[in-house]
Amino acid sequence: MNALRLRHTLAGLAVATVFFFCGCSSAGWPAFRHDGRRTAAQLKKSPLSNPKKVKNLECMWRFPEKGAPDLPEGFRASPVVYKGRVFIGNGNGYFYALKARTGRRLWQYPSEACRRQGKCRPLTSKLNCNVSSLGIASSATIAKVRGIDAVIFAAPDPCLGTGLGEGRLFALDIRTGKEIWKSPVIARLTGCTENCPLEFHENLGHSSPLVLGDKVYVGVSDHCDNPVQQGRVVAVDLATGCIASGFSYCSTGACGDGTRGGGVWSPPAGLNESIYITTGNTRIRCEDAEPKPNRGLSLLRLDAASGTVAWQFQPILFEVDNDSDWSAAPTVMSTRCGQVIISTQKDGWTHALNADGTRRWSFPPRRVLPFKCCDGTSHGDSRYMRSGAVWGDVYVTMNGSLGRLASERAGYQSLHAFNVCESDPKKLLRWMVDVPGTSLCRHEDGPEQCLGNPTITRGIVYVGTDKGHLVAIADPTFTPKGRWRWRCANPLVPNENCTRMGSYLVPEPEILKDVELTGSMAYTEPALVNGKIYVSTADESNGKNRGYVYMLQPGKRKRNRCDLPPPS
Amino acid sequence: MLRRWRRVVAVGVALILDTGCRSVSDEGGRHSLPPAPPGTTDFSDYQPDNPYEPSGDGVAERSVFTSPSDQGYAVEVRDVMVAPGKPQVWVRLDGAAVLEVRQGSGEATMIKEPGCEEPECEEKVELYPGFSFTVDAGKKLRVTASDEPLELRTWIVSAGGEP
Repeated sequence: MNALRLRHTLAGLAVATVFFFCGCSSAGWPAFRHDGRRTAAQLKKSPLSNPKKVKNLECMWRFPEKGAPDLPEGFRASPVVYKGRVFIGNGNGYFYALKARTGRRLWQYPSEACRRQGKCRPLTSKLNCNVSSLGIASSATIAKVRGIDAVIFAAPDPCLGTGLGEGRLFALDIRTGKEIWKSPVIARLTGCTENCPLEFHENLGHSSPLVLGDKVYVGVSDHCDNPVQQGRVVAVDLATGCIASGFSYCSTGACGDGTRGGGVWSPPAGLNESIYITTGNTRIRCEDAEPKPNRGLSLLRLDAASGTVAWQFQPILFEVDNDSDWSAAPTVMSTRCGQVIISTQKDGWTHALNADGTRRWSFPPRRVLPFKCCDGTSHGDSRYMRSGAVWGDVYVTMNGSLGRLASERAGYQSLHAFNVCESDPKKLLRWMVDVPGTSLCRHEDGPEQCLGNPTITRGIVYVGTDKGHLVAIADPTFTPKGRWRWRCANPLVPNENCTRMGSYLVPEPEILKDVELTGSMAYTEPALVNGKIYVSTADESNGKNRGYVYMLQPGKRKRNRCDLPPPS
Repeated sequence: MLRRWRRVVAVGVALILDTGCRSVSDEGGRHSLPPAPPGTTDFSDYQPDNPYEPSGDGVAERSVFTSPSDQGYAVEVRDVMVAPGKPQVWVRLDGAAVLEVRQGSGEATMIKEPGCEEPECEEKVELYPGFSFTVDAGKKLRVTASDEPLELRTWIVSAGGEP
C-alpha cells in the first residue's frame, strides 16, 4: 500500500513538474511583440540577458545565404520563432519557414511547384503606394488550429475576389506549409484608381493578427490614405477562418455607411475578454465634418466577443487632427500599480492608461488633455510609429522627448525608458539614449524612419536602425553607479546647462554592442529566443531591393556565413 | 522511511521548479533609479545639434530659421527658454515680435518706454500653453517662468538690408 502511494506521489510530482515547466516557460517568440499583450519581452534567462556575453554577439547565418540569389524585395514583417523554426513573409509575396539553427529554407508559401504550374501567385497587391502594401508586411502569429500547430498571417491575395490583391488571413501547418484555412476577403480592394472614393482601397498592411480565445483579430486600414477608408477590426473563427459574425467594430459612423477614417494600422493587443487597438486619423479634408461616432486617433478597449467599445482614450480633438495616426501597437502591462495600457502616438506623446481607461500620465508631461486648437502643440504626420517593450514596470519606447514642443523630430533617434508606476513627472523618465548607427533623422532634411521596434530581455534592450545596425543597450542597473553617465532630459539643452535651465539629468544607459548588418530594420523587431536573435532587414540602398533574415548569437565565432558589410 | 523519501522527493522537485521558473520569471524593472547627485558632472558625450545656448542668467535661446535680409526686412524664428525660479529675466527681441507659449506658464511684462519704471509704463500678461502675444519693435520684454521651464517660440521681424 505504502509503495503504491509512493509511486502515485512520484508520478503526480513528475506530471506536476512537466506541467509546470510547460506552463511557465515561453516557447520561442510566437507573435509580433512576442505575445498577445505585445510586451516584446523575453523573460527567459539566456546569454542575451547577460551583458558580458552580449558583447560577443556574432552573426551565425543569414537568409538567403551567402552566395545564393537575393530575394527581389525586402522584409518589412518581423520573424516569429517557434519549435525550432522561423516564420516570415517578404515583400515579394512569399511566406518562408526556415530552420532556426541554420537558416535553411524548409518550405515557402505559395510553393515554387504550385507557382510553376500556374495554380498559385505570390501574395502581392496591384496597389502599391508604400511599404505596407508591398507583399507580406504583416508579421505572423502561432496558434493551435484544430489540434495542429499553425502559423497565421495577413496578406493580399491576387487569386481572390477582384484579383487585385484583396487582403485575407492564412493559416498554414507549421511543419509542411500546407493550408489549414484561408479566410474570406477581409480588406477589400475593388480598384486601383488613385483617390477614387467609389472604390474600396482597404489594406491589412502591418497589422499582425491577434489570437485570443477562439478568434483571430486583425486591423483594417488603407493604402497610404489613397483615399482613407473606414477603419475596422475583423474577427475570424480560429478553427475555420470564417468571419465571426458576432463581432463588429468600425472606427467611424456605422459599419458600411461610407464614413471614413480611424484605420487600424497596428496589431491589436488582447488579454482575457478584451482587445485593445489604436486608430488613425479621421479628419481628411479641412472642410469635413466630424464623423459620429469618431473613434479615430484613439486607444480603445473593445469587448472581444462583440467588438463593443468599453472605453476610448482620444487625446487629440478632431479640429487639430492633422494625420497623427496612432500606429504603434498598444501594450498591456501588469505592474505593481495594476494593469496599464500604454502606447506612443505618432505625434510623439506616450500615454499610459489605467485598466478603466483613465489617464495615468502622458510624456512629454501634459496636465490637460485633449489637445485642442491653439494650445501650442501640433499633431501632424510625424514618425513616432514604433511599439514599445516591457521590463517589469519599465516601458521602453520612441518618444518625442521634452524637446518635442520646440522640434517635432527631437526624439527620432532616441529611445526613452519610463517608470510606468511613478506619479512624479520628473521621475517618469528612467533613462534615454541616442541609438548609434542611424541616419540624421533629427535634421529637418533627414530621413524620417530611424528606429525599429525595440525588444527586451531582462533589462537588455535590442533595437535595429535604418542604417542596418543592431544595437544592444543595458539598463543602467547593470552598470556600477560610479560609472553612470548623465544627460539632460531635454535633448535640446546641453548637459552642462541642464539643471541651471530647470531641467533634470537622467542616466544614459550603456551601449553593449553595435553590429552592422545589411539593410534597414526600421520596420522590424529583433526576436529573442533561447539566446539567439532573429531579425529581418530591407535594403534599398543604392538602387538595390533585397532583404535578409539574420540570426545572431553571443560568443560563437564561426565562418562568416552572414557576408556582413565592412564596418562603416 | 517512506515519509522521509517523500519529503526528499518533494524538496527535490521544489528546488527544480524554483530553478526552472527563476529562469523564466523576472523581478527586474520594478524600481526607479536614484536621481543624479547634486553637482553631477559625469556627463554623457551627447551634444544637441542645435542647442539652447545661454543668453543671460536663466534664459537660453536657439535660432530655428533666419530669412535672407536683402528684402528690406528680415525674419527670424527663435526659441527662447526661461528657467523657473528666477526673478524676471530679460528676453532679447531685435525687432517686432510675435510670441507663442509652447510649454510652461508664467508672466510676461512689456516695458513700453525704455527707462520708465512706473507701473503705467508696464503691461503684464499671463502666460500659458498656446497663449500668443505681440511685442512692438523697440519695446522690452521681461519674463518669469512658474514651476517648470517656459518655452516661447518667437517670430521676429526686423529691418534688414536694402530691398
